[in-house]
Amino acid sequence: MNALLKKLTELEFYAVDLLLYIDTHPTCTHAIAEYNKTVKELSFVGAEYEKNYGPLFNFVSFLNDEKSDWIDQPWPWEYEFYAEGNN
Amino acid sequence: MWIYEKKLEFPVKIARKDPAMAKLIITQYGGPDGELGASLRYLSQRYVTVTPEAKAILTDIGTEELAHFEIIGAMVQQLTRGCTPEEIKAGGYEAFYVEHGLGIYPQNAGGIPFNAASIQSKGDPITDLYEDMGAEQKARSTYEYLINMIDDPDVLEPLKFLREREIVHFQRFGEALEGVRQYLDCKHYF
Repeated sequence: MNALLKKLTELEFYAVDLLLYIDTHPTCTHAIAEYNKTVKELSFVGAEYEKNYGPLFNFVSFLNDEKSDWIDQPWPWEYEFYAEGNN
Repeated sequence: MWIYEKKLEFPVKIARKDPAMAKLIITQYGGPDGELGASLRYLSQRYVTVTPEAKAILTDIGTEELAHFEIIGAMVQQLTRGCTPEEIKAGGYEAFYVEHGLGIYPQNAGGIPFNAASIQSKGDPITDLYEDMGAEQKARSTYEYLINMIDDPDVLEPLKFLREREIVHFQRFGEALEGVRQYLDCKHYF
């Protein structure tokens, strides 16, 4: 797994766990600040990832103007997705 | 509306094929305490719950469960990818194979197809959250039984991650239940 995907996975997991916490602690300003900081960093890392490996989200990510790159690269359930030298 | 993100919540990279393991792990895909049932349960219960916290947690955990459903699908796929008929027979995977080939189908470890009878949406916010806490514990137990059957670290790591999520979800549902209880206990007049 490349460094960018690793970073993306770590940040996103942190965001998931924080949001669940915030759902039942909606006035915890410390958690909210941490969540917002994480989502901000996530948007930078996500943009960098998309530049290198193509769109991350259906219906949200921009496509390459010339030819759709949504269908490029292995899919996440495939072994090749996490193979070295790939994604 | 849901958006797909082209990555897994936790990486699955299993080097060694093992259809015998796949046959067990598939229960968390479509078994009674599996991820599909979890997601359907929480996303269906949302409509009648009463506090903003409970609506949010059912939505967000219901969403995370779909990501777990995908992790289990990826594990079964990689454990069986390119299996020869000999490997399928040696792994005891032949009953699944004759029905589904190397496809992925929601069923339990014993071959019983996914059944919504294993979940409930009772229309009672308290009852539903108790069910959810029980469901998280049942899923945790299943992950522990699976972990007892496995020694390949490639298979173990995602299962350990999923087991830990059950514990966090149990905690969050407990907090939501407390909020619903307080809300229902106070008098509502105008």
